[in-house]
Amino acid sequence: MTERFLAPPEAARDEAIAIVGAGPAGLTTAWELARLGRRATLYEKDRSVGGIAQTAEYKGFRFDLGGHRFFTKVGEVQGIWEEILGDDFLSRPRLSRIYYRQRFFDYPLKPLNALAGLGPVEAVRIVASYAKARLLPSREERNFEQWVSNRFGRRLFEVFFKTYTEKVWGLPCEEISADWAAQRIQNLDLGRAIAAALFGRSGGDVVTTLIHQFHYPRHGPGMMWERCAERLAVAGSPTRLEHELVRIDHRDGRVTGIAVRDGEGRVAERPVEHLICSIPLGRAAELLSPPPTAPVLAAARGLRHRDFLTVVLIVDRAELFPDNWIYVHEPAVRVGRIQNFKNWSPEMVPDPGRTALGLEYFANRGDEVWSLPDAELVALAKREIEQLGLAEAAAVSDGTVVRVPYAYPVYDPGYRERIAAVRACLDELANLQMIGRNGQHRYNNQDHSMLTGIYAARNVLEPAHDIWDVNVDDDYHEAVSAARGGDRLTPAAAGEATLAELLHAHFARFDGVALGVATAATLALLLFAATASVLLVGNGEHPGPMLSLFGHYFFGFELSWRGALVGVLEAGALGFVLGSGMAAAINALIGWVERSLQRELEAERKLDSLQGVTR
Amino acid sequence: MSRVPATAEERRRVGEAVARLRTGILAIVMGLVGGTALAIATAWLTLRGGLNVGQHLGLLRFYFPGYSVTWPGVAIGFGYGVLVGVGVGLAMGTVYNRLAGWRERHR
Repeated sequence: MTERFLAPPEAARDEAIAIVGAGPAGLTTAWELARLGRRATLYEKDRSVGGIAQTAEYKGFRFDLGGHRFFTKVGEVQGIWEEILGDDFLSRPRLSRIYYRQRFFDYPLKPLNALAGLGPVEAVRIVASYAKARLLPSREERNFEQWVSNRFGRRLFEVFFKTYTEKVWGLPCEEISADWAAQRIQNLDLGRAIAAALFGRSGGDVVTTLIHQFHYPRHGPGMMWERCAERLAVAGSPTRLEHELVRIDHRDGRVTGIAVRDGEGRVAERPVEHLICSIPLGRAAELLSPPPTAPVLAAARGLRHRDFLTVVLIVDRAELFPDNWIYVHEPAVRVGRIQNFKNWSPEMVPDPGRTALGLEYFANRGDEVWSLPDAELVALAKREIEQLGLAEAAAVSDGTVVRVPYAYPVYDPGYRERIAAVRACLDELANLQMIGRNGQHRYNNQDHSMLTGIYAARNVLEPAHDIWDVNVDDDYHEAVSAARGGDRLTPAAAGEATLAELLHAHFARFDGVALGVATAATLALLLFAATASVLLVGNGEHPGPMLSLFGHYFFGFELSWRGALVGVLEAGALGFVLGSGMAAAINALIGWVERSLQRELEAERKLDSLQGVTR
Repeated sequence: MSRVPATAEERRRVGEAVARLRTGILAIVMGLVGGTALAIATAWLTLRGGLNVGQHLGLLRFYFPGYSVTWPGVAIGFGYGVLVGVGVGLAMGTVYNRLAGWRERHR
């Protein structure tokens, strides 16, 4: 175990390296540091390691907080998983479906399956709505609703995207940015999907593999991180559970020490040479001593998170449904997703005759659902599971509730500016690194969080990696074909259009080459079709003589195949000149209007400043 | 409206923006223009009447079966004009948008 990955304890260098947060990012940092021959101390506020990727346990039933498949394109991450888990790293079949109106639909969404499942009347509505969207799309694509409706039609949006997305994020779809939809649902189009279904076009090996199977630790993701922490302890990097960071001391651009409070309320101060944190980014700024400026503090406090809670129901049935998880699009219930932990790994339940379900309710800390007493939440979950027809309430023998705060960073209006303000402040501290999902306020997947940890560890030896580059331009591998409606990435809010964007939209210039080619292609095609049809079926009276008159304008054009080709070339050339000329004329006019408007705006601005002086 | 003047970067971005054609709208407009033009041309010649009325325009029946320079031909011509206009609009819009998008990405 430690021989290959971890340096033996006696060889490890003693250096005051503190890692705050023992989730995937923090533990991976310690793992990589150990590999590089450095010891560290981890501080974790919770009673167990793993962060949101921990596995909770209730009366022998193990359950995941949200469902964590293990998939990565990063070889180093895969290597760590395999090294730690060995034979306990299972390959599991995947089935996840959408539940709507008492029916299951394939997930990722397959249009033919959806149309068939919804019935003929709804199918006609969906196809008509799709046709309308293609012919008359919404000109604006600023928000999630417009983006999805333009590609799938409004009806399909309402059925398969709206309810779930709003359940997860607690925001109306018109307030969620189109960028997020583009990121999550890229390359999926109803027309293309129908064509693919009809003509059997494959989505590719990687996507197929992702859809049908995934890796998972035998006893849940917590097994990975518990084992990792155990090995780290052996290697001299212990994890202090129930230790909360309460202050970060700094001086002259460096963190000098931290204060941590243990489970019994005792606060201890520790000097540090390096501090690596996966606590929420805003929280780190709030803990600085001396504190940052008021605007930075305001920005830090403005970074929001979406939370969720899992109601675990123990059902006295051996089998309920074959899915690993189900997306609940049914608007009549509040539950958003249902996990069947036994289908993730059979060893998640102690008794094969029983099943543990996790009903996930997305919430904000302190809201109505979050604040319900556990007993009421269990009662609500029992009611809803029966209402959905997935299990009888009477078969539920027990239940418990786990609340997961800070589950998803929220990208609300202004979040980028707030992150920039906080980062600018924290970046001043040369020996502080922020890692992981919450440490960067970025919706990293587990592997991306781990990668930030690996880079942070290497930066301790030689600062050569920009941790903030991880995942910025990286397409999430499942997005290639999956319409996930809020499963992993977080939506950005759709803001008001800025002046620059409005100008961009209204004063955009035409591409002369493109319009030239389009006009050329159209003219050439029309002339060729007209000539060819006469040549092919030119019996009796036909417009050949009239068509020949084009020879006056197109040198060499005549009513023959050779003439048709000559005509195509010349009509194409004429079309190109016409099209690009038209673009140039339109652009000149647009430019003139834009300049006039700018002069007007500037005059108004000058007037305003004059009024300001005289006021 | 914001009174903040555009920055140099914003001006550059606006200057580089490439317009897109709304293919559906272009198709409908070109269809209406095509249909109306052929209907008016047919109606005008029909109104004028005379010997060999619309002998040249009537040759369009080679491409548009059922078309003639008559009052029923006005409606039939309108239909064909719409069809051709829609086709031309769709083709132009699609080719333009694809090419403009490609050129923008490879700029």
